[in-house]
Amino acid sequence: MKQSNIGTKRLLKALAAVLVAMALLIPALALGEARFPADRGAVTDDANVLSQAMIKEIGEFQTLALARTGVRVRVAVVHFLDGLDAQTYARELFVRWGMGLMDLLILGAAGEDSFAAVSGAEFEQTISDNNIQLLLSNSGFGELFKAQQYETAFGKLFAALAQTLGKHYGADMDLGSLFAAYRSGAQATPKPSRPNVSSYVSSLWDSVMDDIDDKVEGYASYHERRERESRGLTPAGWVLLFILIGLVFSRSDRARRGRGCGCGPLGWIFGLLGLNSLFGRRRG
Amino acid sequence: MKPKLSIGVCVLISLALVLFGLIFGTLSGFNDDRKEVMALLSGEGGLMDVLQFRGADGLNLTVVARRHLPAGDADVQAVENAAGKLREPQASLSALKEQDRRLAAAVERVAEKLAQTPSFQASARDKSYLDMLKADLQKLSASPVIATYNQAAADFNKQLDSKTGGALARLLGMQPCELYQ
Repeated sequence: MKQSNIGTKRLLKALAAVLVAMALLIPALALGEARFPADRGAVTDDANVLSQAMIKEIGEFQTLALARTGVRVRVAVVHFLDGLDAQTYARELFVRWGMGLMDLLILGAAGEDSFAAVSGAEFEQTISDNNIQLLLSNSGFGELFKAQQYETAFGKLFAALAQTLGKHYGADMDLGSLFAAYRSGAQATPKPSRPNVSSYVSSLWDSVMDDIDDKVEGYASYHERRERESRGLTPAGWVLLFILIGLVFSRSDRARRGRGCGCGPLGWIFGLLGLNSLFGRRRG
Repeated sequence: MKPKLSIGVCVLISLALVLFGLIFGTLSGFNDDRKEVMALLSGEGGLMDVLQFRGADGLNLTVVARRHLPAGDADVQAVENAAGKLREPQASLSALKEQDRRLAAAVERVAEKLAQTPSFQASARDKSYLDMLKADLQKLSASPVIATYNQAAADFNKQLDSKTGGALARLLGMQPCELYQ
């Protein structure tokens, strides 16, 4: 009675674990329908809207922020969100990129004029989501991004972010010459930043089409191997088979004299052929 | 040495082992082949992925279209509906084929409407986006995985129709693969 209770409890626990896993898996499958860019460091500009100079400056900002506050900032700009809203896409990207407790991700979807920010739990305890939303709004990032002024949008955002990080973490976030044109009181005129409209090619394409090509090539290799295997025994295999049949008949002679039924060697033949097939399949 | 079992029993045991080997080998072989065909369908980079990406690009197109066409435009809605249905993994292949056909037709109609819309004509950005999305959709529908899947499924079904191994496999419950057509 006691044992059957333990068994029932184990079964119920296993069932509960399976149900929880299925519940977690369903949203993951739905999110998996969108295409996400590979992580390319401080800035992943799949939409090709930022200049190399801006990408370099954001990279230097990331190094500075990490050293002074422990916060790692990343930027991702894509063309479209494949049917997801910006916040959901950003959240999924945060997870896919393995971003951590002290990380901040700024996502922009250039083709949809939308953006979002996601941060790790520890970062959020210091600078709340609300504060980040205010930052995106007050720095002018939102309006500039929607007006496709991407360079100015990110320049002003990072200038303001430096002040916010400095204030909340009590750190010296002296930017030096970084984002000089975008800071308040700046003399220089920020560069206009409408992207080059002839360059609308998504680098997500390469990885998508590579996966598809790999799939086709993988099947072609499998098909070739199966064709070879289905051609039957090699000449060496035939020789071995005749030798084994010869052994069977010579042994069966002994069987007629009352020593076993002679079917033992047949078992060996089938066993060896079966094992060969089994190992051959596993190697394939 | 006195035999422990009669010859008849030995023969029966051998036959049982041979039968087991035959059934196991048949099922195992057909299962492996079917697994490869299913990988072309639902594995990473497979036919289902291609259809879902077409659906995703359809949805992306509706974002661009809604900037210029009236809210509730029927053709934009048609793109959205077809794109949404293409992303349902549980639908049959023939249903997905039909939705893909509807998506392609609705995308053409939306593109024609946009071409006649002044605000779209004035937007270099959205014209480029439309070109990009149409090119993406075209590349996906020309993807080699579609033809490869259909060929693989047809080959598998032909093997399953064979009178020897195929008949046994069908008897043991092996199902043919659905073609994408």
